Amino acid sequence: MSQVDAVTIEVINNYLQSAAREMNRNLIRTSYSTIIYEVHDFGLGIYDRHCRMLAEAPGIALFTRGNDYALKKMIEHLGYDNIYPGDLILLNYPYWSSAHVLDVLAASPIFAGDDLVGFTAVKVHWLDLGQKDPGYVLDSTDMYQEGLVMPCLKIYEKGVRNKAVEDLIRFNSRMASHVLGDMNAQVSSCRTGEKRVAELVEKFGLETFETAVEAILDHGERLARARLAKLPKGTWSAEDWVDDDGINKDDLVKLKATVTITDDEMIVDWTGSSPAVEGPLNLPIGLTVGLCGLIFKGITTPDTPANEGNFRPLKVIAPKGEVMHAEPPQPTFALWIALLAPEVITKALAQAMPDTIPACSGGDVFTVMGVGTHPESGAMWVEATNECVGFGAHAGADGENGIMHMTQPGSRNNPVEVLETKAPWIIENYCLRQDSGGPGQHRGGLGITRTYKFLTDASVLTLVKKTKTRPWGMEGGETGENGHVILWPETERETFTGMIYEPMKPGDRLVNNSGGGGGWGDPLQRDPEAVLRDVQNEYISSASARDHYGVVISPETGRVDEAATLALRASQAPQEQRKVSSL
Amino acid sequence: MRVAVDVGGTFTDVIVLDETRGSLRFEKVETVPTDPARGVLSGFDKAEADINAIRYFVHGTTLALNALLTRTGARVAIVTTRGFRDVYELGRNDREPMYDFKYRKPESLVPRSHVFEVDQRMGFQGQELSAFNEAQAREVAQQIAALDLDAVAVCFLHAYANPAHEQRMRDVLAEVCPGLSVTLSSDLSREYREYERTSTAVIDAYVKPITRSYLEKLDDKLAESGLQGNFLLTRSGGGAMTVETAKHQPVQLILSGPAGGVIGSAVFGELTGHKNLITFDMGGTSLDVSLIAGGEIHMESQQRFQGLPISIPTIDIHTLGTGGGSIAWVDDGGHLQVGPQSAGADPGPVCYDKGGSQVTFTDAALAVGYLDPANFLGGDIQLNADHARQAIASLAEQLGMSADETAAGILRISEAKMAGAVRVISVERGFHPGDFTLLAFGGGGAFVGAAVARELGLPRVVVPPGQSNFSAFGMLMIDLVHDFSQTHVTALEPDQPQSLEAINAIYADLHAAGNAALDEDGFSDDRKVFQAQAELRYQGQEHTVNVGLPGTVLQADDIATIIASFGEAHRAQYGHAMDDKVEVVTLRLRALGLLPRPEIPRLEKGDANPESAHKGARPVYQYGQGESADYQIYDRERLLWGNEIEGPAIVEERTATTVIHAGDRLGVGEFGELIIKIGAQS
Repeated sequence: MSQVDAVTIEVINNYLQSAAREMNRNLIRTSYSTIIYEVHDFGLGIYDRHCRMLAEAPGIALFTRGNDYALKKMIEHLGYDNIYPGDLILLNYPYWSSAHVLDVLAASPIFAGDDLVGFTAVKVHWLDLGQKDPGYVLDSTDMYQEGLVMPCLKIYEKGVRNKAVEDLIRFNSRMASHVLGDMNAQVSSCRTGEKRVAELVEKFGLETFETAVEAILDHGERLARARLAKLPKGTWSAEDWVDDDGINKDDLVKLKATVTITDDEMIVDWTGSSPAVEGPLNLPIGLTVGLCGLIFKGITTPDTPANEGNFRPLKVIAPKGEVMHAEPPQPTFALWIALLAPEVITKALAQAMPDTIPACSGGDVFTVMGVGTHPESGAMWVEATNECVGFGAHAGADGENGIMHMTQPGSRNNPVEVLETKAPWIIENYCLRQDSGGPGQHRGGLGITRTYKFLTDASVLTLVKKTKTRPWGMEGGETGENGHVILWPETERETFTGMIYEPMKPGDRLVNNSGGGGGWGDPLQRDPEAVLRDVQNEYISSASARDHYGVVISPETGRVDEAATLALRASQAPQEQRKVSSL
Repeated sequence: MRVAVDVGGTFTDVIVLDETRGSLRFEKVETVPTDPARGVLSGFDKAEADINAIRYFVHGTTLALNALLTRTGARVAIVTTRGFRDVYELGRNDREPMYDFKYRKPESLVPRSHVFEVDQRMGFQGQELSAFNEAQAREVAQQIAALDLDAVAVCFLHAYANPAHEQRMRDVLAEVCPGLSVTLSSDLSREYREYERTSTAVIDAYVKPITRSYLEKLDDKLAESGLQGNFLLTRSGGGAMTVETAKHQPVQLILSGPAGGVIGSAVFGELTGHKNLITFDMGGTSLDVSLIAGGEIHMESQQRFQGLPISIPTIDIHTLGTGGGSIAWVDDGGHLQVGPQSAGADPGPVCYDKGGSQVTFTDAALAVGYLDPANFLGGDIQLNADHARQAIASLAEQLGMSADETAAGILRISEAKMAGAVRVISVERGFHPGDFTLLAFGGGGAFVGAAVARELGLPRVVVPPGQSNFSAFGMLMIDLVHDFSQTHVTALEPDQPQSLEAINAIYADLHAAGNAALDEDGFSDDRKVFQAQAELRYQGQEHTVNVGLPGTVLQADDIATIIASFGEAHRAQYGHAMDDKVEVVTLRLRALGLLPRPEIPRLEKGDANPESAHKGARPVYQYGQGESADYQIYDRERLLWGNEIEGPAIVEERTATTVIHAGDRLGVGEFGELIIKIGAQS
């Protein structure tokens, strides 16, 4: 293979990153659904012809990782011989695409002249594909209830739009015009990526491009290995629980991760997790690998753009037939295990790296979705917002308040003014939850509370699977408050719950509380002035300052009463010594 | 006489144009951070400007931006709708670093304890859902007064649709705490998304006291010194505004500094026949790029500064943290990287000999031979080439490359990053770089301009006169601007011309408002220009595309034309157009008050031969070629209109260096601008 100098490699790498950003902007600016243009519920990237990721854009990190596996399955299914310039392929078969049926991957080959040089991949949440319930499916028992499956259908073949595929979508979706508008945005984004990469190859020549690609990926691997070498070596395990599988409401679903770090690899082994479940919580293997990659990237090379090389030292084990490795036709629709599992890995790693790993975050994405018929237009509406959580505290600082879960860094809340414009409901409040952050020398970040009031008949769905266990703290830090949903608050019917699909009447209300992060270190060691600031900002109550932090604030001066604080702290110590507090 | 003053972080640039004598004078004085007004006045002195003779004084200032960057603005309170105290702190919850599980948001401008709630509520159609609770508002105002804060930002939900409650809150605040400056979100933005509108109002409130006191002080001092001409400021949204407007809406001052260069570029482009320009302004720590297509500056309806959104139409300036001070380093994977860390001015590059030990862009430029160590900043700083080479040698050792190749590689990587920034504002916005001329200025723009142009296929680079003071120069050629807009969502269909009635009625109102504003500024009718634009989209989309309209009174025939130009613009930006219905979202009107164009002095005419400016030659190491090439050196001050220079060559002036590579050809234009044709010799 020829040599390409280091500088040209950097130039080509910069160009690929730029092309991914352009795809990102195109998708956002031409899409039809708030879930794309406000919430950024998508993941996209550029791949080489061996389906190795070269560049990605911010969005749902898990989507991008899942796409890695999806492209490989696409090639297996179609074969390189059946891929032509101008093709645009739709894939949402869950076990291949590594996502549920509504997360549709659009992928296109990139040709420079006659040569296949790579792929674009854009996965977007579609609003409806005729799944059994409008909006989302929480209790399917096999895949056939989950919507129209497209196992690598070409919406464009050799540049020509396939009307049959378009009709198939149009006649199977409750929201065809939205869905096709968003699909066009995906197409536009893919085409942009194709064009830019083809230009790049034309400019530098195929041989230089391919040599540079190898070098870029090898460099990504070297960066990861350099950091891996500095991590502690050994094996650590942790368990945590997901609320239920959607069918058997009283049974927690167990997740167990065993993490081994050696000189040249990190192995995440899910053996010992729950067997496959009856409800739609089983995880396609591509997503299991993807979520492990998310954590691996975070502890090795968080500060450089991701590429396939970064993930080479990672090995994932998930036995078939267990919940972390779904097989057809097991139901997979509610992908929520993918959101909770990453923090089982960090829980294992926390034992090895107490000074770098943060405590558990609020632990979920706490999505609320409304579905109904618009009173004026008579059209169906689906609106949703993901909800932020508190981040876990760590050795260096408090956890951030109100920030999107680690699995969805680029995802955003849907503004109140947008939600109210698009759908017949009123948001009554949206604010931080006082005292929801786990107490600690460093405090866990705060979760939030949001209240919805429905103005017409509609259905509400909550996508939440961490309401029965609390976000764990570390090194003596306490747990954060777990999230939960309150149906019909302050009425006789008031119900605390988690994941639900419920009809709502005009005037019905729902409160969505997201979880706070776990604390780090003994709260009695927290600087009393920091506790005072938290009280002044009402992040914590004076009662919590007294009971958890042993800090007394004088009601007269509004300052820390030092003598009373010393005395109180002396009486409260010692704390029960627990490295990782849970449940 | 016209005077333009551009106050930057380190230097204040002053340009005096004496139209009666046909002379231009450039001066630089040090910025006085503690008293920037004094810096401005000392600039007047140094340039020997007769204040009594000044007709237009145009000013650009980074004061507001610096207050934001250094977190030294006002102590601000927020008043918001009950239940929504944390809209500002929560923001949109997203973050750019995808894999950082310990991420912290940028420090908030307003602590939570300074956020207050009032009972009131509007719906999305502007209907009052619950009344404004005046008693509570009064209590909140008293609490704010007790905290001894400087400013208040008021942002109520759906105030873009009905600002009545925000206005009542302003009245209450004016009564209870009369000294406090107040910003209403609805005065600045009439668009939905509460966080972005709150942030816009907070930034305005945050910089208002500091800019207001500065502008008042400067205005007074200038009046004392006898200024009778107009005092204007460059604005983030393009054009200039009066000092009164600036005091009222200082959020328009955030990009005042770099805006001067972009606005000036548009006018300079018009003067020299370059209507499609990419402006390329490189200083010591950063590069600012923007785009002008067909004479129109490209705008964005929303910008973020350090993650903080401002939702007013703003010049689309993309900033990259790459400049002369950018540091070169070797990453864990053994690759050479440049920036984003910068050695700044202190300690600065290794070659400054002020204690810097990390190799910078400037060190690399010196080591390969582009810079003359004895002639940097006109000889004010003597560069130490030996120290730069030693530092580069140790970097080269880590990389396993030669020192020459390392130095040249640092420049090459920097150029690639800068080319990336140009791609962001061109290719990524749907513009083809090959259709544009690179206008290179700032201390370093012309140094790398030709290489960047070559990388992206731009046919030419223009280096304006006084390139390192060009932002100030551009301000001499500015017009006064007022922007108006109204959100009005309606379908646009050729067979439904009745939709035009409402549109034309809105334009009549906007036109009247624009006319009144220009009357107040003292413009006669023949110096007023009105430009109508509409934001359009396919029904169902959210984001819009801006399309120019034929006028402010639309006829039935215009509908098809507007739809067609929307389709073209959509295709150009996103690669496709559709048959879906098109709708109007926002109607915009720009009211321009034209100031007389100044006469820019012309250079003496010479012939093609540049020999009289020739100073000698210097070898410069060429990346990837293993050898040096001789670059001929010329003195810009001695070049004449019509001179031509074949690359490779270097044109030196006191504060900047222009590089022309082999294969390129430089011509000198009538105003002294250098026009480099890329690949002209091949």
